[in-house]
Amino acid sequence: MKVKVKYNNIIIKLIICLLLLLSTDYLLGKMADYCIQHQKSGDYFEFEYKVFHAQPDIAILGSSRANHHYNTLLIDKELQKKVINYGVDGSDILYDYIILKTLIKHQVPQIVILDVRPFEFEEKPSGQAVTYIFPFIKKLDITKSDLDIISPYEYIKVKLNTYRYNNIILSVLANMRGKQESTASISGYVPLPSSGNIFKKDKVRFEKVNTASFHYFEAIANLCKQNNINLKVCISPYYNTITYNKAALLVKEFCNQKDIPFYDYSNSNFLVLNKSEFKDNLHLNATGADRFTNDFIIRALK
Amino acid sequence: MLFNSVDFFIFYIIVSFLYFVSPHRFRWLLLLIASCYFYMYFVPIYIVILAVTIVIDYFAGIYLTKLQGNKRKWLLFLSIFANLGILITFKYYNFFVGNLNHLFAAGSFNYQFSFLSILLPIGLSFHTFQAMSYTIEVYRGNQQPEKHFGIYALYVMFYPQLVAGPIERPQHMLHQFHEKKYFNQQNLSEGLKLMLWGYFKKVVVADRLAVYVGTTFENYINQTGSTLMLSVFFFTIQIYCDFSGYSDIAIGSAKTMGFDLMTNFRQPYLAVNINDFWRRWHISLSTWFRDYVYIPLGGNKGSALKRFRNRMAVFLLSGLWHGANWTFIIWGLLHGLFSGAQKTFSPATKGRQSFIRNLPSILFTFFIVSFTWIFFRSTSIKQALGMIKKIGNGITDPVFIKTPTWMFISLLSIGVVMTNDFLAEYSLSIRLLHNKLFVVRCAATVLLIIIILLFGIFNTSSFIYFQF
Repeated sequence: MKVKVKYNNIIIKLIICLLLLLSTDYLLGKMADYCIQHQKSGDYFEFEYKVFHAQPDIAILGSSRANHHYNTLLIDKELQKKVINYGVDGSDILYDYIILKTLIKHQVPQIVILDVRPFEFEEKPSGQAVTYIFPFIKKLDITKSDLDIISPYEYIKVKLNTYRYNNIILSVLANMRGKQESTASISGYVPLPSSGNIFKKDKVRFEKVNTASFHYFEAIANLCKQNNINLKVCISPYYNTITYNKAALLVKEFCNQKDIPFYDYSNSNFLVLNKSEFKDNLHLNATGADRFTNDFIIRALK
Repeated sequence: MLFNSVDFFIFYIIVSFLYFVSPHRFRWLLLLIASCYFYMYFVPIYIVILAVTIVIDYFAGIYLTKLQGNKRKWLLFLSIFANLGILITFKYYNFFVGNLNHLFAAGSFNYQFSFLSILLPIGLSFHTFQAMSYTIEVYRGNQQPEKHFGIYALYVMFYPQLVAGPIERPQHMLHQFHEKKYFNQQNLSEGLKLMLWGYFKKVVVADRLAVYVGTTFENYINQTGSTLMLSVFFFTIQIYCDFSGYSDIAIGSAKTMGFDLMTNFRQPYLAVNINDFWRRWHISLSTWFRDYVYIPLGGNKGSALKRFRNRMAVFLLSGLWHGANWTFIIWGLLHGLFSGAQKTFSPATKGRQSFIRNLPSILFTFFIVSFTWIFFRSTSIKQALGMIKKIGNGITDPVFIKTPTWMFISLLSIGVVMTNDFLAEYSLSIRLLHNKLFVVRCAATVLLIIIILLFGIFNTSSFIYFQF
C-alpha cells in the first residue's frame, strides 16, 4: 500500500544521525589520541619511543622471527652501538617498509638488518600489523597506495577515528595508568622462553612469488641506497622440516645484483641448531636466538 | 560477495536506490541482475549450475499443472532427481567415494574410485531446497506455477537469501515480486536496524570468538580440558551469532526494499528442550524438513517405532544437509536421539512458564546443544571424541585466556546478545533502537555503530553457513 512519504523528514533524520555519528567519532578520536600520547607502558609506549624518539645505529626490521631472533643486548655489547629491534608478531614486508620510511625522517641508522621470512614473497602483504599502528597514522609515512594493499577501502576507513582504535582502546586506556616505564630498557628484542613445540609433519608450501610483496622488498633496498644505509638481508634459522627454496633463491639473486650482503640460514647453511633451541618450526627460543645472534655478529656485523 | 564487506555495503546502497527509482515493470530485472552479480562475485562459473536448476524447475512447474496422473508424479520425481543430483554430485560424491574406497580396501578389493576435484558451489544446499519447495508446492496444488521466467529465477536467486537462507516458500515469496513496492520509512528504519544488529552479532561477537575457537579446536591435543570446554561454549555462541547475524542482515536488507523474509531464529538458547530448540533454530530449514520429509513419512502418526523412525530420518538428513562428513551425521543423529528421548520421557510443557521455573530446563538444553556442537565443529569423529575425553579429564585445569581485554569484550558482547534475547523472549524490551523518541533511537544507533567500529573484527571472514 502506498503511504505518503515525508522525504524531507527522512533526509533530516538521516543527516542528524550522520552528524551525531561523525561528531561522536571525532570526539572519541580526540580522546583516544590524547590517551595514546600519554601512555606510561605497553606496546604503544614502546612503539612511540622506538620509531619517533630512539636514535638507533642499527635497526632490525622483520616479523616475529626478527623480534625473537636478534638479541639486541648481545649486538650492543659486542659493537657498542645502539640497536633497536622493530620486529613485530604477524608483520610483513609492508610494515617493514613503512617503519623504515618513518624512521629515516627522524634518524638515519647506519645499518639496517632486514630479516626476511622464508615465505615472505608467496602472498601479497596482509598489512595486519600495519592496522595495529593506525593510532599513529598521522605521524607515520604511509601513503594511499600502501593502504590500498590492505584493502581498497582502507584509505577511507582510516578517516574514521574510532576505526583507527579498533580493538585496542581498552589496552590503550589500561596503559595510561601505573608506573611510568623507563625508555632505557626498550630495545625491542623479546626472547622466547620454552622449546619443543615442533610440528611433526612437514608443512608443504606452494612457493609462488607475489610481485606486490617483492616490490616492497625492492623499495626497502632502494630507500637504504638513497640514504647510504648499509642494508643486510637475512633469512634467520627455521626448523628444517620446512624448505622454502624459491624465496631464498629470489632474494639471493636480487641481493647479488644489487651488491647487498645476504645471509641465508635456511637448511642449517651457517649454523646447525638443535631441536631444543627452537620454540616452534619458525621461531628460535632464547638459547637458539643467542647462538644465532653471536654467529650473525661475527658473520655480518664485525 | 560477503555481507560483512565494504563491497556489499556499496552494492546494497546502489541496488536499493536503483530499485526505488526504477519503474515497477523493470524491478525484477534489476534485482535479478544484481543477484547474478552478487552470486558471481564468489565463483562466476557456478552461476551455470544455478541456471540449469532454474530452467528445469521452471518448466517442471509449468508442466506439473498441464499433466495428469502418473506423468505428474514422474515429472516431480525428475525435477527432484535433477536438483538432488546436482547437490549429491557437488557435495556428497567425494564423501561417498571416500567411504566406498575405505570399504573396498577393508574387503581387500583392489578397485578405488577416483575423487572429483571440484569446489562446492556456495549456498548450494540452500537454493536447491528453495527450488525443490517450489516444485513440490506446485505439485501439491498449493502454488500456481510462475509463468514469468525472470520472476521465478529471482525467487531462487534473490540476493539477500541466496547463499544462506532463510529458505523461503513460493507461497510466501513469489507474490511479493509481483507486488509494487513503495518506499516506506518504517521499512527502511526497521531494515537498517536489523542489519546493524546483525553486523554487531557477526563482527563483534562471532568473529571475535572465532579466533579462540579456531585455535583451540585445531590444536585441541595441546589444550587443557577447561580451555576446550570454554571453546565449546564460545563455539555455541559463535555459530548462533554468525548465522543469526547473517539472517538479520538478509532479512533487514530485503525489508528496506519492502520484502518480507521469514524469521529464521527465535531466541534458540532459551529453548526449554531439544524439540523447542528446533522450533527456534534455523526455522526455515526445520520447517522444510517438517513439511517435505517428516509429515510425508507419517509424522506423529503410527506406532512409537514409526514415529521414532520418522524423527531419526529427519535428523539424519538434517545432519547430512549440513555437510558431507560423519561428524555432521552424528550431530544430526544425536539431536534425533535427544529429541526422541524428550518426547518419550519428558512431560509436555504446559503453557508458558516464568524464566526462573524454566531455568533448569534452559540450562540443560543449552548443555545438550553445546555438547552436540562438538561433533559439528570437529573435522573428524576422532577429534570430537578426543575433545570430549579431554574435557572430561581436565575440567579443573587452568583456562587459556587470550588476553584479559579480549576476554572482557567477548564476555560483555555475549552478555549483550543473550540479554537482548532474554528481553525479547519475556517481552521486556527496553527499546533503545525502537524507542518512541527519535533522540534515543538516534543515540542508540550511533552507539551501536561506534561499538562495531571499536570492537569489530574487520578481516572480512566468511559466514559459517556459506559452506553448506
